[in-house]
Amino acid sequence: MSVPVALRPLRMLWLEDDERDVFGWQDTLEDDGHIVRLVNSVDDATHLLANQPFDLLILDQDIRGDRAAGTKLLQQLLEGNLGSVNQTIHFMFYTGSREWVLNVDLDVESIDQCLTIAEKGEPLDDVFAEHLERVSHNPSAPAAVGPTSTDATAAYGNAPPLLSLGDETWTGMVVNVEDEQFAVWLEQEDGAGFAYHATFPITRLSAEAREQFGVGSSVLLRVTASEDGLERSVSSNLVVSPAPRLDAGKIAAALEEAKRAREH
Amino acid sequence: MDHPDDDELEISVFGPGTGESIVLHLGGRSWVIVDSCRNPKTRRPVAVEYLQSLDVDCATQVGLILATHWDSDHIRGIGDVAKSCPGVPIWSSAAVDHVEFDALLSLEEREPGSTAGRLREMLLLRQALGGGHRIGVEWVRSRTMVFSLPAGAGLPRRELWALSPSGRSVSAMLQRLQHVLHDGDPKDLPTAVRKMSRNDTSVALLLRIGDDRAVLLGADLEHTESTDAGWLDAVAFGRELEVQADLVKVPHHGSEDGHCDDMWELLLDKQPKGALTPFNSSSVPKDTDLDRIRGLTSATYITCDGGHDEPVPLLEELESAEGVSLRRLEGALGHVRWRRKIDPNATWAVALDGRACSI
Repeated sequence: MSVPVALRPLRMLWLEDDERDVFGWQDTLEDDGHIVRLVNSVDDATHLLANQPFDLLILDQDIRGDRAAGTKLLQQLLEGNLGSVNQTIHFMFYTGSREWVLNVDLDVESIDQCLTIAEKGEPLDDVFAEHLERVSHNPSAPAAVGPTSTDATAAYGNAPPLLSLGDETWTGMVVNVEDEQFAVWLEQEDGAGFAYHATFPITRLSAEAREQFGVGSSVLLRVTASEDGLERSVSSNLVVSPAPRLDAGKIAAALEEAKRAREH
Repeated sequence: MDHPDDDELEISVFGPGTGESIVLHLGGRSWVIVDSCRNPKTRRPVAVEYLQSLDVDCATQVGLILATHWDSDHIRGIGDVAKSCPGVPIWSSAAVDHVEFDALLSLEEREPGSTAGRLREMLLLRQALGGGHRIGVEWVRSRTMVFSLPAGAGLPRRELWALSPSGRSVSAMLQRLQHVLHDGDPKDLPTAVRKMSRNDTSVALLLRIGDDRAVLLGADLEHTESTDAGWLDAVAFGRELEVQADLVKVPHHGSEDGHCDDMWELLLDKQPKGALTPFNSSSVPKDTDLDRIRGLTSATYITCDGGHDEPVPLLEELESAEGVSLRRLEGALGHVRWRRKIDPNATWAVALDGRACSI
């Protein structure tokens, strides 16, 4: 994968619930100086859009089994239903079918790129190349979206650049869940030598994720440091898998199998 | 590090903050590995890394791999140890030689996370040993000689004895496994496995060198009031071996629940040397534990002082930015190495590496 370096770092929000589809691209984009915030739920995307400025929104259509999740979010955004969020954001959208987008009355023309799943993959190289260049070079490009703030309403060229200062990827497992918080054992993915017991507020998870996760859920945490003007900040994206789905039948079957193996 | 002489004992204790692995040289280029932890930087088992750094042929010069119990801080990387030592016998606590344990491993295999990570390493060991429904290991109970080297080449007979787990502790573990699998809500199984007590079934070892010298490796064995479990049962058998140790790997990370007066009085010389690993997950040993151990030993060294030389990860900045609460479990590896000639009159000499330090 290779992506031409844009004139300035772009702030990207990527809604995707399957991190395998993202990480190669995320690394490549971040290596080129862009800031990529990955979220796996519409709730998290909405929250971030309302609180942080972004130049580009990349949307998957199907999020956690909701085949219309991406389109619903985009529709709300285009219709101005997300409050202070700037509606002039650039979009990239990938979907099972462009017909689907038309059926939900989305204005495909307003979307910079609407890819079908079949187009996602190697051709995305070219799409990114073309798209990033357009967004970053276009002098009339819209201001970064985000809350009503100096940053969000500034002309594009005056917006302070957001510089990536590095990131870390941590993997682990949920080891305890309480009413207000949950605990995770984390190891640094590149073997830099650290492991932590981390406790997160339960509000870090979307309502849907809260229903599905539990002790034993695997965790992927990406920590990113960036600098906007003089201010340095650190943020994180947390992806938690559903908890193991055990039932009495599975346990009984495992016991019976183990018993038979010992008898033989 | 240099290889010990053929007539030299070595007790090397490794730990990264949460985790423990011990490597024994019994003389004559014969080695034993007790427990496993990983080097946080390389993710490789420290025992294998260390032995390979000494040019030890793990397949032929390691005589035994022993997993004292199935707590993850004692078996991380044990499957990789097995792969690096093909054909070497592997022993583990008999407490899990049950259908119920086999079933838990299978559940972990099919539904990762079912045992909250507790059995992941044992599952990897099972897979490393060829899969199937049972782990291809030998099961250890107290009063078992797990390894021996005959007298010869000017060296006395060397025997490694298991002082635990007792029969009662093994039975108690079976009951706990049955309760978790048969009585609980399946949804709560990962939590139940995670909270299950295991230290009472760990394998404390006594290395007897000839008739009058010994080393005690305390594993995570805890003290209870029962005379047929924990340290009281282990001491009862240890006394039958009629030897006292002059070096101890302090039990259960120096915590108070691993302390037993009888162990210190009846199995050890007065003021023995000591080695210790911390358990940062529970913040042990505490200062009071260290005071107690200082009073009982002439010199004790801990594998990890809690510090590190690396840049602080970005993760730690989330504490202020996003209200995340953090406790560092692993930071940097430490190594406490005790060596002495097998000659009865020889004395122990210590060498420290990494974050290891005196207590």
